[in-house]
Formats: sequence, C-alpha cells, structure tokens
Amino acid sequence: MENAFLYIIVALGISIIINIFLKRIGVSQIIGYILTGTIIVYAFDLRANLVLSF
Amino acid sequence: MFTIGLEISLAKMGSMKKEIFGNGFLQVALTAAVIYIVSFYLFDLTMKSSLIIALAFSLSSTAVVLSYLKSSKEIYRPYGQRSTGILIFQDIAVIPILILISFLASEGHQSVWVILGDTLLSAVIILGLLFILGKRLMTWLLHFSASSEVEELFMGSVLFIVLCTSLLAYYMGFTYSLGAFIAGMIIAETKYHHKVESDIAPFKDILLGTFFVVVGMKIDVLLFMNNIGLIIALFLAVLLLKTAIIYGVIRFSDKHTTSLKTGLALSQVGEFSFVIFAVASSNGILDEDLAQFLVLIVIFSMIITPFFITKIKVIVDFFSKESSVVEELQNLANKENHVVVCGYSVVGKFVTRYLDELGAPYVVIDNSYKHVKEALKDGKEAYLGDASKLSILNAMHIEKAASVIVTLDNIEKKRLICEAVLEHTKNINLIVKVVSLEEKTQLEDLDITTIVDGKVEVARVLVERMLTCQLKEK
Repeated sequence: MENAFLYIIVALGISIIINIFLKRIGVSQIIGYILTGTIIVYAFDLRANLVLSF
Repeated sequence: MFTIGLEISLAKMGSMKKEIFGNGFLQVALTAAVIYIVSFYLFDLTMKSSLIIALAFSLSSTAVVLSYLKSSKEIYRPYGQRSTGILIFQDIAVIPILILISFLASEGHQSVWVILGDTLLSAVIILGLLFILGKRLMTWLLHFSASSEVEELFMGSVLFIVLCTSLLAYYMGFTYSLGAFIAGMIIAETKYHHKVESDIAPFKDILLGTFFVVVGMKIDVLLFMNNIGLIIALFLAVLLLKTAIIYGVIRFSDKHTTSLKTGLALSQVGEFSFVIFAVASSNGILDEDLAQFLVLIVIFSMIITPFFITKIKVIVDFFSKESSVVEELQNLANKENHVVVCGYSVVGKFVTRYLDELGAPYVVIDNSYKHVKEALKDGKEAYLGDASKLSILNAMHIEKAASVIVTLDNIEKKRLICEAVLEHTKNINLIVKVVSLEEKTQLEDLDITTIVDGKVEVARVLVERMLTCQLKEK
C-alpha cells in the first residue's frame, strides 16, 4: 500500500514536469501521460505484476 | 465513460442523425468487415480474434480528435461535424462491442449468432429498466440533493448514481463502464446536465490523464523495438485503409476536401481499441502475446495522432492544390477599387456595415467556415480562405484593391497576412487593427499604412463624447 502511494506521487510529479515541458513546445499532454506511464513501469520494475483494471 | 454519456443526450443524437447513424454505421461496419476478412483469411487468425480485432480497429480516438477539434474550433467546419458524428457513433458502438466480448467469453461454445442474439436481448432489458425506472429515481435524488444546497450532497448523489448503475450493469453480465455510460446518458436528459458536467470537469481531465498513464504502463519497450518495422507497417496499412473507407463513406454526400480531411482525422486507432484488447485478452478470447502486440500498434497510433492531426490541412492542401478555394474565387476576376476585409468577427461585421453605408464595394475573406457562413447569411460577398496565402491574394486581386482592412484578433495571423499582402503588392493601403501596444510594436517593422489601436481610439472617442456632451432634457 505504501508503495502504491509512492508510485502515484512520483507519477504525478513526472507527469506535471513532462507536461509543462511539452506544453512549451506545443505537444499534446496525452503523450506526456503515456511517457509517464512507461517511465514509472521501468523505474520501479512493475512489468511482472502489472494488472490492468478498468 | 460517464462523461461521454453525459455529452450524448437523446436530443443531440436526433439532430445529428445522418452524421451519427448514417456515416458512423457505414464507417464502422465497412472497416470492421474489411479488417475481419484480412485478419481471418490473410493472417489466419481464429474467428473470434478476427472479430475482436476488426471491431477494435474500426474505432478512432475520441479523446485525441475531439479535444483537438474543440480547441482549434475546427469542429464548426464541415469536416469537424462529420468527424464528430462518426466519433459519437463509435463511442456508442463500444458498448455493444464490450457486451459482445463478455458474452464471447462466458458462452464460448455457442455460435456467434446465438451470442449476438443473447447480447441484444439483455441490452434491451437493461436499457429499458434503467431508462424507465432509473430516470425517475435519478431525477428525484438529484432534485432533492440539489435543493438542499449542500455541494457535497450533490456530488455524492452523482457518484452514488454512477456506481449503482455500474454495479447493476455488472450483475446483469455487462461491464462497469457500460453502466457508467448509461448513467451519463440518463443524467444528460435531466435538467441537472450542465451542473453535473461542470462539477466533474476537473475530475474528468485528471481521470483521462490516469487512463493514459495506464496506457503508457502497457508499453513493452523491448517488444516495440524488436518489431518496430512490422508495427509501423501495420499502422500505416490500417491508417490508409481507414482513410480510404471514411473518404468513400463521406464522399457520397460531401465534396472531395471535406471527405479527405474527415478520413485523415479519423484514420488512427483509438483508446477504446485499447480497452477492447485489454478486456478480450483478460477474458482469454485473445492470445496474450497477440494482444500485447496489437496494443503496441494502438499506442503507436495514439502517439502519432496529436502530431499528425494538426497537419491535416497542410496534407489535404498539398493533395488538392487549393483548387476548390481558388475556383470559388474565380468570379472576382473583374473587381477593381474594392476593399478587402480580412476577418468577419465582431469588428469585421461593423466594418462591413460602415462600408455598406458608404456604398463602397468590398469582399470579405475569412479562414473560419463559421464566419463565412454568417457573412453569406448576412448577404455579404464572402469567401473562405487564408488571406496569408499568396494564391488567395492573387485570386482576390489585391493589386487592384482600393485598400485592405485587417480586423483579426490573432496577432500571429495578422502578421502573416500583413507580410503576405505587402509581399504581393508593395504599394497598398493597408489598415490594421491592434488591441495593445505590444501588438503594435510587433507590427512596427512592416510597411503598414495605418495601424489603428483599439484602446487609443476608444479613449479618443470617449473624450470627444465628453466634449460634445449633450444632456437629455428632463
């Protein structure tokens, strides 16, 4: 649970920074969010236990 | 899903019947059919997998395209309208597709037709139940929570309604998102529609963000790198196929450029395909590896789209060589000493009114379809076109014009137009409206005859009125 909290905070931070940067060069935020996801997975090595829920 | 439902009320559906159900149905059905045939016979996949892939690839990305169309005001153009219609149909089509998947998963041994029949029956039951009974209950709950004037009660009731509908849908064997969608649609029918929409707007954007973060988490960089060639090839194939089909569908009723623009705008694979693949693979209908691979194609197309969609106009102009606009301007050939009014927004409208009073001949040129339509309705001679393009200026016979009045608000556009006009004809009476000192300095280096500063002029008129003040007699 504590880990999940950390992931969310880090994801939020990364996405904000990336999106501020992307906004400057006029690229849609969607790409920023997608990049954030990829970075998080690789940074915390979440690949193995990834469960997608909707 | 809830917010999509919120945007689609029954009334809206009725007014766009042709765009949504005509074009939309044709597009989804044709694309799905072609892709089904290709994947079933060419790639030798199973019938179920082919069906899922075909349906998923027939959808486009509402989140990307619609937000672009809205922010760029292109939604008012004919191609924006066509695209929106098709997108709404696709959003609705997601529901039967998701239902289909859950039935494919649970009753795998039956034939497809039986499953389709069952799906339809259950859908009718749940829709009827919710629309008749649910609507009364929801209106009642929202009415009392709204009249209590406690904000969180209202928010809470909305949340409660959405979760209840989702749960109900789930117990009936559908997905949660379907329930949320129906809840959205029902609330859209009530008078609380706008309040709910504005209350959840910030949540919606952040949830959309979360969704895309999850999309990003699904990217397997290694798999992507290893198969990059194949992914790009398949993506291009899907893109071309979808453009061609949408072009064909729209071409029945519209002109070449509109059809091509719509086709290109909707040529990508959307976020719903992603959901469909994820659900299908977790239900075991689609092979894990295959799903992973398909998801990569979807993500690739979604990453490309925001870059691609802003270039649509350029691409279409390149292919059609602006022939349609220039043809329209042919009858300007014998104009002389006319005034060219660039832009038909508020200022443009007043300018034309004063020109009418003076009896001066003029033509209006505007790059916004909506404005041109308004001007034509007002009985003005107006043309659709970008006045910063030399070919348009040629067609408008700027060299013979008495003067050019630029009434636009957008400073970049204004500068481009001034540059183009001055490049075309050195000696021209060019009058430009600016709204701030900043804009004035930005245009200073150009050889503009007169720059009118809106604020300075208002100040002057105010003082003038003060001097000639005539009190009303009491």
